[in-house]
Amino acid sequence: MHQIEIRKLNKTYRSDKIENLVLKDIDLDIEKGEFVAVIGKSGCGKTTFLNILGTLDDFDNGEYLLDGEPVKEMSDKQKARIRSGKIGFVNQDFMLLPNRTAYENVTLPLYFGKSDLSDMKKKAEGVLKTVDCFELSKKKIKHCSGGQKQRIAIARALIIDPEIILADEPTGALDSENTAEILKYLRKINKENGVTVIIVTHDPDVASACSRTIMIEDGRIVR
Amino acid sequence: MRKTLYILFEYIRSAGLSLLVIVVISALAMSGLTVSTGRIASETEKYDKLRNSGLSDCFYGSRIKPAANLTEKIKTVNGVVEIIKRPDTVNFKPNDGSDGLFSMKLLTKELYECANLNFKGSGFDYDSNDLECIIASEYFNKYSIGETLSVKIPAKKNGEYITADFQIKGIVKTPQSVLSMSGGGSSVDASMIYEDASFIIVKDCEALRDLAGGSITKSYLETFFIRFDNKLTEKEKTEAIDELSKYLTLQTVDEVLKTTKEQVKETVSSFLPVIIFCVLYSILTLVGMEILILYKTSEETAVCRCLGMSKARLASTVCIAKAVTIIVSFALCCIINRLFYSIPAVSSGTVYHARLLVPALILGVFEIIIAVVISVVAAAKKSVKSSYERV
Repeated sequence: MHQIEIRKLNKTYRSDKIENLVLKDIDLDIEKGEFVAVIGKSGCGKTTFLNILGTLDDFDNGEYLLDGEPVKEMSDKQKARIRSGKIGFVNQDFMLLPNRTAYENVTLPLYFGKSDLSDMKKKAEGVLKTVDCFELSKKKIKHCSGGQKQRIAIARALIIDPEIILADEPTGALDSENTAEILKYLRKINKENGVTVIIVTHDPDVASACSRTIMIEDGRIVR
Repeated sequence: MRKTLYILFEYIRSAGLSLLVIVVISALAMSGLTVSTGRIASETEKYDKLRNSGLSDCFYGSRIKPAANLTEKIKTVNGVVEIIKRPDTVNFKPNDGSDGLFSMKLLTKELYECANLNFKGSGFDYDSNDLECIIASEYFNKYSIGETLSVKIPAKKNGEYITADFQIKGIVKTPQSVLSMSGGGSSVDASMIYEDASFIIVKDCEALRDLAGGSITKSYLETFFIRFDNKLTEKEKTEAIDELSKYLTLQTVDEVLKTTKEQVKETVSSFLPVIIFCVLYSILTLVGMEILILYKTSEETAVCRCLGMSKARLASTVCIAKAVTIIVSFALCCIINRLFYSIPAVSSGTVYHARLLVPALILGVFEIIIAVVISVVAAAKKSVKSSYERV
């Protein structure tokens, strides 16, 4: 059984009378533990695709099985439960709470899931150490650099022991040095924890660091 | 639960100043609505009560200067047939749970005619738990302790009569010859001296209290309704008015009605901007602020969604936050209203009653409805989605 199995998936955005078919007949299988890059030009549907993978967005028709479970039939609550227990998100804009410390941001997902809060501190220390950010624990996000923010975002994604990490342009706002570092951490997580990592990027260097590349063009997977 | 509490805290924290502004403006709007509608209700009530009092042939007198012996002065004015007095409601605090109203009737010709007793004069007053009745001393010796007296008293409207039974509890001798009557224990306040009159204490007489309480309006100033004997000549009437004018501002009830009507109009127009503000606030400011807050918290909203918060939970949490906002606003509103009430001009009339917080409550509920609609529609759908797509 594939971890992610997508068949004939379509997604259309509708605004007023205009219909924009952003994803067309997507067929895709991703195995557990894969390190995948999704590349394509701006507006080709990469982020929409990632949102659908992360159960944040609905799709019009087709089939999306996550660990054999049809996502289409899931309720909003079930999807929320999947996001809080199975999927970690990493974004270009970090999506961290700027006025909170790194520790508070990292522990945030634990409040949303069914996690036991008793060993919260230990877990937070562990994931912060994984991305070498332990010393930033008490630092507010607004005082951190871009690279640090992204590492903290990765730590936050890791704290729920995710099966999948979805990264949307994780290096888009970073310089080359930080880009390399972030990729290093993602690869490490992929190898050591066996977490499936799916990165959306338009950077060929990032894509080349991944074990598999999927190219989307005009809403279709071309490679 | 922890999820909701966390987000609630985060939401309030993130909304920050916008939320504070909403709370303060809410409280001000609620207070404004309460005070304005309260004032209008007060004036309108006064007008309606006056119009329905059946006292159109009376004069309406407001005390213009302190006079400890005012009752005595009025009593001695020839031809004054009825005075109904309302005290300063702030200073008058009866201890029997009644609403602090009392009446006084002096030398009442109508009472004289309708009572079984030959009261040449009678007066009712309220002191502690007792109603007091004055009769002329020449009748004093006719009554004995334990005797029950039945008195028919004109009702507040349409000439009907209420029958009240008084039992003479005791006779208290004072220089003014005081007769004390009561259904229970009572005492006579020696300072209440009515020249040439006996003094009857009547306790628990609902009929009298109804009569006293039902017919006239409250006012910050002591007011009197005065009715002259029909048999008075115009000259005698003028003399009586001249004499009373030393102590009272006298107006015919028609004049008072006209003035009151003007006051209602004036109050409505003066408070109209406040009411318009409240309505506009609710429609525009509140909606605007809600959207601003949603915008400000969109980042957090997106984070929450990514970390596994369902739309329904998110929306309900936002609604709880709104409800908290409204409750805080309402508490502030109560405090502000209390401050308003300490101003005599505002505290007069029925605006003093807490029930006039109802407009504030309605506004509060209205705000919650707006918040719910916005939260559910915007937070759960568009804003969440767009904020996520933005990042």
